Amino acid sequence: MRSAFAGSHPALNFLFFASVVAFGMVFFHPVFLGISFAAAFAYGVRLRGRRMLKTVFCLLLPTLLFVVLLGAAFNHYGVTTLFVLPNGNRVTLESIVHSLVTGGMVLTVFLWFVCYNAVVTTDKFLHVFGRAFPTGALLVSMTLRFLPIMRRRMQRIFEAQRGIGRGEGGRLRNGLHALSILVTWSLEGAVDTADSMKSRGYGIRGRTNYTRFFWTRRDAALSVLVLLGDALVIAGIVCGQTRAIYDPYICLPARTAFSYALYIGYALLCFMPLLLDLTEDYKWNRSR
Amino acid sequence: MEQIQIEHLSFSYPLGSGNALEDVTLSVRAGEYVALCGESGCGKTTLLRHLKPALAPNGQTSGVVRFCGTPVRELDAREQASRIGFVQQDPESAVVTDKVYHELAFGLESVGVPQAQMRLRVAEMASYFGIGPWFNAPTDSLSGGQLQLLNLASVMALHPDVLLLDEPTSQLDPVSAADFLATVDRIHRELGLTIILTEHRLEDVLPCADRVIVLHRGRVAADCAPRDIGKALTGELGFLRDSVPSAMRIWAGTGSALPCPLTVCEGKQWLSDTVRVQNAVRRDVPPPETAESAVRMREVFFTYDKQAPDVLRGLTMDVPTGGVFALLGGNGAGKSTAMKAAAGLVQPYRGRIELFGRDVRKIPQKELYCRFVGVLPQQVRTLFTEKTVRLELEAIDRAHAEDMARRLRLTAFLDRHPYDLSGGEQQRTALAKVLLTQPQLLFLDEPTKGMDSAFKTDFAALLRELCERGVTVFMVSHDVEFCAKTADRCAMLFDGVLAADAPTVSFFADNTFYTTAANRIARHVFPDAVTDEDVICLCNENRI
Repeated sequence: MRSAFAGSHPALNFLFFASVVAFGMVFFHPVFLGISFAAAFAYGVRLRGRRMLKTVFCLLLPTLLFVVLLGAAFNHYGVTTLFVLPNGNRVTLESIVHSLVTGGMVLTVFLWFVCYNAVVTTDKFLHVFGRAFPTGALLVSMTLRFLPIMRRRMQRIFEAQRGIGRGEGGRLRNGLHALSILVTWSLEGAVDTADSMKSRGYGIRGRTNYTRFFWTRRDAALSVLVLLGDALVIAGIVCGQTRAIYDPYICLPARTAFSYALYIGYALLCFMPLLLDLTEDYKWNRSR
Repeated sequence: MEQIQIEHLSFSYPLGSGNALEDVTLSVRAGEYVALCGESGCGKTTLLRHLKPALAPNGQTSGVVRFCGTPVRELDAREQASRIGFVQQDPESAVVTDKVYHELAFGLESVGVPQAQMRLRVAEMASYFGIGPWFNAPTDSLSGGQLQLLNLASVMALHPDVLLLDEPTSQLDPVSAADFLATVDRIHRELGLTIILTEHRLEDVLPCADRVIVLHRGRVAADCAPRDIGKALTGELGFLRDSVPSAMRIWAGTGSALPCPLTVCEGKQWLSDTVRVQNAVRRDVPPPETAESAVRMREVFFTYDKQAPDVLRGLTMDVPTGGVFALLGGNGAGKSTAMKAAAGLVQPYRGRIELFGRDVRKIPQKELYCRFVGVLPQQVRTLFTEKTVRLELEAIDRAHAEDMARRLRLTAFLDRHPYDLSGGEQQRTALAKVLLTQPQLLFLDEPTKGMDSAFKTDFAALLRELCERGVTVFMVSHDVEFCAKTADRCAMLFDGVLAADAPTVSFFADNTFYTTAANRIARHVFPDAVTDEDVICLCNENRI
């Protein structure tokens, strides 16, 4: 799916994901967790459509349920007893909620990484790190070039060996044979690759980095917004608005006007990519 | 102005016997297009690499190479990287990065061109070479021809004064090869670059080149205009006979007094002036006796991926027992897939394939690939597992290894590592390995790719010899000239089904474009003439 946020500058993408993943990993407060989960889920569906729904409902939610059951069965702290198991252990509301929150947190961060993968392609990654580590970035790029070639070669080797009657007789033996051919072949190719790099001046001091991405005023404005959101949330953390205690009883900070402002601010931060996408969709549809 | 001067250059490899280059002296003017040719192992790549110090081979060198008056070894790294461009043989390993745009910018990044200028140069290259449509594509998705074009563009982005190309088309199919050489010619004409190109397939190069330098055993054997090569073909340059354009070879074969033709078009005019014009009557080819089918394919469907379109769409084909059968077709027509299906390496999802009347799926693997079917893959390196050629052969069949080595003339390098052999020798070793499994049915996938013409002639003889021993050969190829010379029956695969299937002569005589150069030259007078020898023979019978 085409996404306006994915089309913006890689640095903005990084800033956003760094913020939401960091916050997602430290917040135990159910409201913040809920907001982050909803945003990650909604944006994931926007980016990946039905495949995302499938991942969430077939894999993640059952795992969450399993974690909660396990947590409730083995943790017995808390004051609110729901029922007593045949072996005499109590099942408490606090332990269920705590497991749910912990599981939810992991799930949310996972969902954010799914979105990250869809938005930050390798060339964006290389753009952000290429300036600081040009050699490292080149190495990543070369590896990405090499992997599919290796896979294809391996396939050809197996096919060729089968064609002269070497397909039978032990998986390991054949695998080792194939691997030795692959290594020799690849080393031979690497000599050519090195020549090709040398002949185009690789190794001269003062390497620059070509980029396809441009920093626009819109990127700057959005980055400022993300940073403002971060500042607001950090202020909330400092004021103790995000703390949550589950043992021995559930205790959340008192809700004030500031809390509500904080909820809205955090929601705007997490939903920023989706809001951006929907605005652009709306503009596009109106312009038709 | 003399741009490149080579003075008394001699060179020997550390472990090689004798000199790879022997007292080579020549100079190249700015803006010249020079074709450097000769048999494989004549030293052309070694010479070319001496012009680019970053790639110069290690060994004993004497003499000097000057670029614009300065010895090349004294050029600083930045200058030689940008002013002398080099395009290598194997496009796949020459591409370094995973994205097309990054590859285009690779050289510019290396020499430290600033961002704004880099953007302009990349844009220029992408538009000049028509890379726009696949600018953002991963390099892995490109065809061989596209990869080589990308290599060329990436070198051109550095704005070189001289472009050196080392057999750039040897790994490409004929159509991509011709396209690539046309692009090189365009660069030469439009930008006035000096071009030095080594090539063993001269068909497409000679008409464009200003000058041809022939190397023989490390020495300059000839240095002349392309047309003058023709005169020497019957004399001292006899070893080039098989690599020059058909028109030139036919001309030399008839000993004509008219000027030597280079292209098909010139060849056609020359022929009209040389022979009495006939009525272009076709000889009746007797229908071949129906032999038993070695391979029988009936309505075979195949696809690599359920979502992808079918590669074979109901292919029905018969390969007669005995003789050489050639399956031709363009890139991606499904030739290799058809061959793999017939050899039982891939399973079609519908249809029936029989080998000598037996369903290929019902033959156990052990029986199928031992004394029954042998497959020579396109990349012969995929077969080499051992340290020496001798061990390679003995790994299959110890008793017959020596005998096979003698038959395929491998005895001289039995103790060498297979990777140290030349392309043709590797091909022979691989073939020996396959033949040791004693197949009745031999499958060959693009056997002539990267082969020089001298070895092609040998290889054709070898295939004929196998046929006489009762082996059926099924060959997949792009190489029209080779198939015309070698095959008994040819078929053309297009869009997953056979478009034509006939005995070789009528196959090529019926095609207008997809046929040999000799046939295109002579079809208006001798419609049945398919090979150069046919034309020479008919020419001599019908002289004015």
